[in-house]
Amino acid sequence: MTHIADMTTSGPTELPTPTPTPGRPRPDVPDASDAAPDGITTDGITLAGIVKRYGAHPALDVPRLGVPAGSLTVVVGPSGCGKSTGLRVVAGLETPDEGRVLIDGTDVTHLPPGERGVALVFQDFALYPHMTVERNIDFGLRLAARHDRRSGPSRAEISSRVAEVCAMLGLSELRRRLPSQLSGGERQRVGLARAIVRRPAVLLLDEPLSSLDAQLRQRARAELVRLHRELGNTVVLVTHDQLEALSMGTNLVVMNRGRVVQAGPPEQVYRYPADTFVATFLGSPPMNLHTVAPAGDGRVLAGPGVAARLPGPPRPESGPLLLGWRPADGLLEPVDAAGDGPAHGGGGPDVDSTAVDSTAVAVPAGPGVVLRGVADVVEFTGDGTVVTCVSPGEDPPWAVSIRGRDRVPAVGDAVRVRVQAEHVHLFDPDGGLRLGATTGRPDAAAK
Amino acid sequence: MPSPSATTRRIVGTVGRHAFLLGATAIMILPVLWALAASFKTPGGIFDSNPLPSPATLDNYRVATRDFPVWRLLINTTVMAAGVTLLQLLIAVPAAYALVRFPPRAHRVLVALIVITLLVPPQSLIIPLFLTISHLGWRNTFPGLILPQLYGTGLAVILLRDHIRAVPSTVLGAAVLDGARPGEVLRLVLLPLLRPALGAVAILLFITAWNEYLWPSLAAPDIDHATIQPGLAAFLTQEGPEYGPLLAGSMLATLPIVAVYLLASRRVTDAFMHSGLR
Repeated sequence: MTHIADMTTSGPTELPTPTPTPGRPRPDVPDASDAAPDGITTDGITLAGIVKRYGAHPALDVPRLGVPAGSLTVVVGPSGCGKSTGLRVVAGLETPDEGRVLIDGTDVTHLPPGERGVALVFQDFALYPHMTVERNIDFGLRLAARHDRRSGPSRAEISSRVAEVCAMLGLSELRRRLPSQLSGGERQRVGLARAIVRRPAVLLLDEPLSSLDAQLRQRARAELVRLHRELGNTVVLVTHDQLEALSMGTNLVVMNRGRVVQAGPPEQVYRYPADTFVATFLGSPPMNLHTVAPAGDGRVLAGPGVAARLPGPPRPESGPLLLGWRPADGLLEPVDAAGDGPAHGGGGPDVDSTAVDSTAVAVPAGPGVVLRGVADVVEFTGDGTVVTCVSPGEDPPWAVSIRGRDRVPAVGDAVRVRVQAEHVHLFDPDGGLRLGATTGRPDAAAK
Repeated sequence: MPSPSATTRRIVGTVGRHAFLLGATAIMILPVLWALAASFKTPGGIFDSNPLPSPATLDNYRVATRDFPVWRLLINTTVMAAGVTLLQLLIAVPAAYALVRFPPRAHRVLVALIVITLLVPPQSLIIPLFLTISHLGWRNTFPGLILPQLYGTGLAVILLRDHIRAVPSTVLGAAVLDGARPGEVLRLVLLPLLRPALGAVAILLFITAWNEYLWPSLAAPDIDHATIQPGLAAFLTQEGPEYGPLLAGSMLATLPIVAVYLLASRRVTDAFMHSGLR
């Protein structure tokens, strides 16, 4: 598999490690993907040095981004992050101020949109209101036939291709209808049919699910994934929905403020976020972040309501750090009267005696993090419960997800949460960049 | 439950409003009704106190149509108004389409320039325009009658601009991605979507051109190319005005407008509402 060229403007990112080995430091490795040395892949889409400004402010600034051929790449980011602009640059609806767009190795920067082999499904579907479903779908083919009478599609070919696409998307019954007579889901399928009937090498989807209601979304999501499998072409989907981003793509690109923050397989981006933006943007509820300071021999980090013991060598930093963990990675532990945790698989009883000071938490004996707080808000989510807790001190509240029918603390209960060391993320408090989960130094040898 | 006094006040208010509106309507419509009635009166009865044409006669219409080339004038006027309307739309549609594509600041400047052309009083252009068509030998020709009236195209551009802006840009983008060339986007996507708006604007332009008096009276005084509005002036003879035939001719002159209105009354209303005129 061609790997997406690493776009992280930040320093270190990591290899997709299958599962972190417990007890062994999982290293941070600078970009070592198997892409070509210069990051250019010949297939798929490549953006090289693309800059698009509106006024003085760059809406899009992408030094290099590769989208592997045949992938379903999801571009995600908050609104205004440049993801739609990027899509329109690839489609040719916007001309970049600088840089080149390559599709399957061909420079298409100055080709008109219709000649790029690119189709786009718009957020509002943009159906031609005055044309029937059938005319909407075959519009592009009939234009192609008219522009090039010799090698353009014949009338028979057009009708067979339209019939094929209609059958594929369940539109055969609706061919004579006007867009105004269709439901939202049907319009979306017409938009898709119109895009794929021209057999584009690249299919771009601009928030195609955002105007569907929640019930339809789940189904449309599965349909899109299936469609991608059947077509096998390069699909780029833009969304601001982090759930769509994680679940649909084979490749994920996270953008913020016109830049690509991180790119890679969704699991990798989710497990090893490059900075605090990615860490808190992906995942719901978002990752908890605590400000902690090294204590003791440098293997111990402590903050209000938090104490962590890191495996491996001591951290080199002396200043504060941001410690992150996902709410689903926290395990609720019973709180006994003494406030002392029970014996833990890897840990054993806490070494330090129970702190009398309410803000201090006993440092766990084994690698891992222990948090203490008070349940403040308890939200039932159906297949689980999210408990928002407050720790004593100034730290913002943090959340822990409790699965299934496990016992749920009541509001006001004392809560004690343990997080395993391999689920801990550390970030630089200044730039928010990832420091590596448990070790300080990127270590290529661990590859 | 409103108190009785509140109910009374509301009734009084409603009655008052309706009375005002009825009065205003009467002021508008009575002269027209008087003219319509008078056109059926005998010459001696025009100024009598009876509002209805009691000895009704069609003599006035007979005079207007037989002794006077009313049909000829109506045809000329139709050709002129249709020509002015078509040419204005032909210019205004691509102009408005292009205008919408300009970046916001350039767009505002261009709109301001176009609006300025509408602020030039047409009377101030009469003499140079008249000299121009005289030099071209276009007096008493349809080009001489029609082309100078295109100075008002800016209005059509401004009106169409708003309608074109209302077309989602994604729909036009979709057509571009489907491989449509600029002309095809205009012809196959934009124009069909603009059809209601084009109808309304066309009606507005047609009525404006139909009612034009000053320019046709100068450019085409000759009866072969004269239009109905200055033509009616011919009834104001040296022996005094012939009110009966004049009013009959006026009624005939409004017929096409009435017909257009009956066929598309909602669009006419829309057109005038949106133009912010009259």
